Amino acid sequence: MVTRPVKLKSVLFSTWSLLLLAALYLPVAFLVLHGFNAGSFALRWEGFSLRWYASTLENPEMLNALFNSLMVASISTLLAVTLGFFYALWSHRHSRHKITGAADSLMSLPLFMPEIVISIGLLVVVAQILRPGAAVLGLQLNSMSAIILGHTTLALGYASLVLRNRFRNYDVQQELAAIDLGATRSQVFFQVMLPQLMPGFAAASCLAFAVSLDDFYISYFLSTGGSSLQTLPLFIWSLQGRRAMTPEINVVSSLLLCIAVFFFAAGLLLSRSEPRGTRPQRSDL
Amino acid sequence: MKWWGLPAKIWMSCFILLPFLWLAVLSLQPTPALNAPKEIDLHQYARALSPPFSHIIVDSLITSFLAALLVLLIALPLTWNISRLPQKKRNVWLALFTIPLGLNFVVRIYAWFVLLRPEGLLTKLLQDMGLDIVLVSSQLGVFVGLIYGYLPLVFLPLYSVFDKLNHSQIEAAQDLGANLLQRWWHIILPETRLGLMACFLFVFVPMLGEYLIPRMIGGGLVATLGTQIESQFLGSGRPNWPFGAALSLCLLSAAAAVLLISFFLLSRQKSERKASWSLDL
Repeated sequence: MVTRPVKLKSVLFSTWSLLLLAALYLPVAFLVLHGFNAGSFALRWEGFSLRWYASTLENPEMLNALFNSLMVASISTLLAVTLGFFYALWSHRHSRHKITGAADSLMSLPLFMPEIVISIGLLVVVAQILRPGAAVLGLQLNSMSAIILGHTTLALGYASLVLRNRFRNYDVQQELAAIDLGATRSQVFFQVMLPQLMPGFAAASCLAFAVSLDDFYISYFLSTGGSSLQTLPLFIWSLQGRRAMTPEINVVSSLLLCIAVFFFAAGLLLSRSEPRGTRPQRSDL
Repeated sequence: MKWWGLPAKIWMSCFILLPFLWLAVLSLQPTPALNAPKEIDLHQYARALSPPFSHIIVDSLITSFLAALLVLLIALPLTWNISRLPQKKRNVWLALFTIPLGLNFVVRIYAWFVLLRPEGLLTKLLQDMGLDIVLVSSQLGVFVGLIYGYLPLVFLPLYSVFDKLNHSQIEAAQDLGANLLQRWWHIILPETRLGLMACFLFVFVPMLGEYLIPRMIGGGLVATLGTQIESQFLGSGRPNWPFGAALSLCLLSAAAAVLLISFFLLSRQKSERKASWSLDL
């Protein structure tokens, strides 16, 4: 093989990828760095200090938004993963039916529809059907529950996709073996099935959590309907709209980045890792 | 066991299908009043498809189309090279390019906006190079923002397209003396065209309804389909939900039309081996 063209190609590849990596990471790094600014303006660097971290961590507005974000993300993750798990189970068992394909497409619709259409659709349904309906029953549907509904829908799309992929390399043999050995239905479920599906479960939960934390559109459209409710992305959005931006916005952004990246990376890692059996299998013994 | 899938299906029908149908019904109302429709007509659609809104729709279509194409062109050589690397290196590179997807969208766009501002680093750099261009509150800025915002989205799907490619044919062509251009034109592109199309649509469709980028980087001065829809629902003026609903159905039909046309054009050239594509997470 000739060496020169190969070298040229790898140089081009590294240059291009470094350029892209710089474009993707540097702006965010710059933003995080400015959270440690001593000055009072978000965009003018005046030396290092933790002053804005101290004040932001005590800011009740920020704490409220953080609490809301975590609350919404936890509840919608729980809902989405539970619904998605039973769906994936059903889809796996009935994979040869014609209707399963249609159902699978229905479940992945949130991934392919523009988020703005999902959001206004939900806004319209919440405002014109669910709120009046709840009022008839004497209940009140607040922004928090509306946002949870929306985030669950979005997260369900991702969770059911990940779980369905997981079920594909699910080992039915173990289940059959357990039944042969006299295991009851619940024993099979809890001791054979769940341990096998645990990584998929974890991956789906992490991704659902990350999706909910990341979401801007659904929260934005649904929070204004009732009493307004702020999540972290909405809080950052509102800070950005203010005339005088303090480094507070950088601090809040950095905090959100830390939480979200952790869950996203964990979800990605877990969904790509190899599934393991219930017990460590030592074939060499 | 038979009914275990039902709750999820009901949930999706209630919060994805029902909203869609409700929007369709709402868009047929002639007046912005929020009470029940008394008559049904296509007035809202007529308004959406006449100036100035038709111009905004066409502008958004062109901008998103070009931006999605550029995103694909930027990511393509890179992803191709990553897919040719040894397994271990491949995972590292792939992770490096996928992690930005986990960085919050609002934060990412804000960070980019900071650089694009007149006193921002990027603008200053460009000015030092003799380029005097305004990137904030301009169509160009929104265009650049779209590319920046959606680039991380395309790496994983694109990678899974190349990952499924059968390389023996390419190697055979190479052995027989086909150059880079010939290999791409005659083998790689025909093999992967459906997958590439899907990747294109995967960024094009959300770009079409993008609201955050035109609002933040465009500073509210660049009108796109997304900002128009938002202002019909939450705007400070008089909200007009039926009109907003009509606009969003126009958005969906534009997306569907692009999808149908492209798949029609691509599948006309019959090929025995169609590269399948599925979203791989």
